[in-house]
Amino acid sequence: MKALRAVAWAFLKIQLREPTVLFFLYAFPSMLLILFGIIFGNKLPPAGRIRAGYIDLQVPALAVMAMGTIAFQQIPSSIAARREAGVLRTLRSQHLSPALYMGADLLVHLLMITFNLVLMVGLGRGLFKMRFAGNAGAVVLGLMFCAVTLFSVGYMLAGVIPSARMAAAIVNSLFFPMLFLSGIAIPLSTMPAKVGRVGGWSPMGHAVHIMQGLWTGQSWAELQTSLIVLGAFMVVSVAVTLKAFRWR
Amino acid sequence: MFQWAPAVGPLALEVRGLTKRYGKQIAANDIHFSVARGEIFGLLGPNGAGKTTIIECVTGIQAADSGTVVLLGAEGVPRARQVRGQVGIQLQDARFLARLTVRETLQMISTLYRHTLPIEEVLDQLLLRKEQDKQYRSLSGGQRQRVAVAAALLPDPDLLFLDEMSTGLDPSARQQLWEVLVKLKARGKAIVLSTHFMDEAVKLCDRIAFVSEGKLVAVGTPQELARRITEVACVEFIVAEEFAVEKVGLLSDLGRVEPVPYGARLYGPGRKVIPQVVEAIGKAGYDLIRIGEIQPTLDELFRFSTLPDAGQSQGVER
Repeated sequence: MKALRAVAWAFLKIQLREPTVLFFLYAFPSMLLILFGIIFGNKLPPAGRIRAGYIDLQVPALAVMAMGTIAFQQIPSSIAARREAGVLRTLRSQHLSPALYMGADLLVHLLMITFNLVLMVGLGRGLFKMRFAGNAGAVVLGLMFCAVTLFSVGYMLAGVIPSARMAAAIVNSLFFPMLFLSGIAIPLSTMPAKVGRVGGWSPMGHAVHIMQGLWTGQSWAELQTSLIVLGAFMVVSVAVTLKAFRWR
Repeated sequence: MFQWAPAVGPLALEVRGLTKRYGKQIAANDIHFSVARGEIFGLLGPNGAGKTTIIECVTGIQAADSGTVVLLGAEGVPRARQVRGQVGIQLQDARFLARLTVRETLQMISTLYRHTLPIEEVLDQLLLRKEQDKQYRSLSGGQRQRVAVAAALLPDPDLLFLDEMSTGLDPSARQQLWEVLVKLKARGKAIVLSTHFMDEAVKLCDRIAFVSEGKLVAVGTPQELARRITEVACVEFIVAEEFAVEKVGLLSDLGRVEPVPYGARLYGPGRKVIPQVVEAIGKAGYDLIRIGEIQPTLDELFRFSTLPDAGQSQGVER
């Protein structure tokens, strides 16, 4: 436990010293939220099953964007770079076990995601009178589930991608289409039905569905398809990671 | 015949029949050696000889294909857990997390062991006080090397592996590190030191193993190796023009040939072959300027001993 705390603390310091991480996790989503808030406002739609304004849905969606940034950009590229430079091998020689490394990494990323959500809620409430119709406990649980699932996909990619250079190419070609097709930047309802269906099947699309659903007071049962799909992603990712992850 | 010296006293490390292949290439071939407590054991050889593979397989960082390793009395796969904390490792090309400071790096590592030396003590030993608050990415090569050694010393290990520890160090840091190792040895610690610096091996090591193409081709004390210098004869000749070894086929039949400007050195047979060499050089059309027996330096002995198929299994500790 002492080692986990110490390694997580060290990893957190590293994250806080990475300007690009801070920008994409906090500054960029804040800018988007403010921009969308100014453009679209947060009025309730005149009719519809879900009674939520644009910002009410955007806050949980931006939390998923932050998860995706960590899962598809941060985790694979940092692990690939550390593996290539021999950092992972060196840490292993100092008895830092894979479980401890991943545990500390996961813990820090969950903390950073939580802070992202707190920031988005603060901005949403303060600037745009954001509404919340869900259960806070369920939202936290959903946040953890979605984050751990997306991160496990990130660890899987880190395990199978051979080099840091390839990591950048592969993760960008996965992340940006998912970002635009998962309903974060543009609501899925505004897209052609086929495009919306494709986007809806990405892990980020399901995470957005879960987070927005819990935010607007939907029950777990109503979200079961997305929960099952993400659960499957998690099982496959963890299995592949355990099999394919390389420290050198 | 070169004699080898066995480890004396209670053993800290015993390696028997360790073999590691990368595809068809054998990186460590049937390696046998042992290291006593309070001994500094050197693995000496050129880059790519297999020193790092041997250290990584012995410490469990890489899995060996076959062989037995007994680390501080613990044998087999669970050994890492049993003796964790009593073994310190400095890898060649060790790299730490770029945005952590030296102190933070050592603090993090110290939590991975049950018992460690005070960080200040290790910082002082490695002359890292001034750099303690610098991020790892801003350190020079020599400073990074000192951090790697500091991390290995941190758990105050009973058995310490240092892989090319002096690479990139300036002379004063190197000297300071040597003094640290001598003190550790006096406290009964066992040290396995891989190096390609002859002076370092001779000054520090109680015994030295020459590594060539994945084999230990010779193991002995520095004194035994010095004696061997006189046993390895070297005939050198100089001719009046550029010399092509292949024009005188006889030479490579007599011993190992190393070209030098306007001539060659012939290691192995000694002065008795001088008449034959003179005749062969004359027949090939060269004007001989000088020929005679010279004493090879320790460095030449090292190069001689690590030439392919040199030594076979002679001198390998069993």
